[in-house]
Amino acid sequence: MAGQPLTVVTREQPDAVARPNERGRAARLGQAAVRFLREELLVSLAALAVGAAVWQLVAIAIDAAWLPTFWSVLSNCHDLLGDAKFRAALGDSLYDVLVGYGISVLLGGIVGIGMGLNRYVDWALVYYLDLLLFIPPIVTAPIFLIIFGLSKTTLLAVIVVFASTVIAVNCKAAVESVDDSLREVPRVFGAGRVQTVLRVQLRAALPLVFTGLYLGVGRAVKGMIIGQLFIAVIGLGAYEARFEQAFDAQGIWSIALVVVVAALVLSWVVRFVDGIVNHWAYGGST
Amino acid sequence: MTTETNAVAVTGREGRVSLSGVGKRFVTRGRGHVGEFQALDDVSFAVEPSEFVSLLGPSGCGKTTVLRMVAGLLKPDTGTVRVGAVPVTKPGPDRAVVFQNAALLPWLDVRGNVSFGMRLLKWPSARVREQTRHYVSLVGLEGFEHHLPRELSGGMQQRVGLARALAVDPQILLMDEPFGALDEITRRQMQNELLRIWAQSRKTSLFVTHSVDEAVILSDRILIMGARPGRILADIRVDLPRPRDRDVEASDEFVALRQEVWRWLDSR
Repeated sequence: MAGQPLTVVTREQPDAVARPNERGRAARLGQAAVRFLREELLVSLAALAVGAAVWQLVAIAIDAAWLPTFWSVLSNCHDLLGDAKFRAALGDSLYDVLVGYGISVLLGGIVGIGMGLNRYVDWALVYYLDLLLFIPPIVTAPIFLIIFGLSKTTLLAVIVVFASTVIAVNCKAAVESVDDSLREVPRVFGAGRVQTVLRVQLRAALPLVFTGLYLGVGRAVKGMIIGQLFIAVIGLGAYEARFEQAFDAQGIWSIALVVVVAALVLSWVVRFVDGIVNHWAYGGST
Repeated sequence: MTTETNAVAVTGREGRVSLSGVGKRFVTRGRGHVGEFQALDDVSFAVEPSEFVSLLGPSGCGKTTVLRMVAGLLKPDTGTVRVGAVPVTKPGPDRAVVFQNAALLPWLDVRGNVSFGMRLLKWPSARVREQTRHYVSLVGLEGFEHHLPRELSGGMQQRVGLARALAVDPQILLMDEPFGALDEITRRQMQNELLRIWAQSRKTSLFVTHSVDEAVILSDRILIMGARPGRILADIRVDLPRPRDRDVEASDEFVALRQEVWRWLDSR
C-alpha cells in the first residue's frame, strides 16, 4: 500500500438524508404558498391560455354561427360586466354558491365524519347517500320547487344536495382510511376515543377531506347553474335562459366563460387553503 | 443457560411485567366460512424491573400479540397480564410503545412528535420543552427538530419514535420490531444507539424481533416462541457483560449463545 493515496473518509451524521437546518412553521407555509402559485396557478393559467388559443383558431377555421371566437366572447363578457344588472346577477349567483357550499361543507362534513366514525350511523345513512350521489339535480330540482316554490331556498336546496353528497362520501372515506397504527399512538399514551379522534384521526383525514371540498366546489357551481336554469328567473340562470331563447351563441358562451372563471377561482381558493393546511402531505423531501 | 418457563407468581414490584396463562383466539373470516385461530396458548413469563427481554420467533408465532397485550391494546381471552400487581386492562403512559413503522404523525415535525405524548398527558409546557430537547439530543437528532417525518430516513424516524416513547418517562418500554424495516447497516447503527440509550435509562424493556443476533446483543433474556399455537419454548439468559459494544460479537460466549438460540429455533 506504500505510496498509494489514502482513501479519504468523511464522517457524517448517520443515516441522515437531509441537512439539518432551522425551519419554522411560517417558512413551511410560505413554501406551500409558493408551491401553489408555481404548480397550480401558473400551470392552470398556461393550460387555459393554450385552450383559449385553440378555441380562437378553431372558431376562425370553421366560421360557424354556434362557435364565436374567443376574443368576441371575451369582448361580450366585458360588455356584460359593464352592465349593473348583470353584475348584480353574477353577485347573486356567487352569493348563492358560497352560502350553498358553506351549508354543504357543514352538512356533508358532519354526515361523512359521523359515518366514518360510527358504523351504526354508516348503516343508517349509506344507502341514502349513494342514492343522492347518483340522482342528478335536474331530478331533485322539481321536488324542491314543489316544496319551496320559486325561491332562493329551492336553489340552495339543489346546491346543497348536489355538493354535500360528494363532500360526505370523501369525509367518510378520509376518516375510515386513517392508518391503524396512527390511531394507536394517542391510545398508548392513555388517550380516550374523543382525544384520539380530535388529535389524530381528523387531522390525518384532512388531505382526503379537502379532495371532497374541492370536488364539492365544482358541484356547487353546477348545482347553482342547474337550479337557476330550472327556476329561470334569477341570477346567471335567467341570463342563460334568455340567451338560449334568442339563439344568442355569443351570450351563451359568455355565460359559460363567466361560470368557468368563477368555478376556477373558487377551486383555486380551496386548493390554496388545502396547500396551507395540508402542507405536510404535499411535495417531496427537502 | 436454558430453562423451560413456568407461570410466574405476581409481586407488587413496579416496572415488573408478568403474564400468567395467557391465551388468545382470533376469528378468521374467509369466503363462506368463519373459523377460529389459536394465536397464543398458556403464555407465562415475567420481565423483571430494569431487565431487557426479547421475544424471538418465526412470523405468526404471536410475538406482537403478546406485546400488544402488555401495552393494553389487546385483551387476553384467558390468563392475566400484570404490571406490578395491577392487571392490565387498557393502555397507559406507564407503558410506552415503539411501533414497527415508527407511526410518526406526519403533520408534526420531530419536536412535535417527540412532545406528543407529554402534551396529551398535559405536562407543564416548560417540562415538555426541556424533555423534548433532552430526548431529541439523546437520539442524535439535534438540528433536525423542524423536519417533518417524510424528510427523515427510516432510521431517523425510528429514533423519533424511540424518543417519543422515552420522553414520557414510562416504567416499561415496549418495542415491536422497531428495526425490522431498516437496511442492515442502519439496523446495526440503531442497535448501537439503543444499547447506549438503554444503558442510560435501564427501562424495563420488552423487545420483539426476528433477528437472532439482534436479540443476543441487546437482551438480558431471550424468550423463544413457537407457532401454532404461539407459546414460549425457551427462556435463555444472556450473561454477556454490560455495557456492551460490538466487540462482544467476537466472544466465545456470544457465539455459543447464538448457536443455542438457533438450536431452539431449528428444532421446531
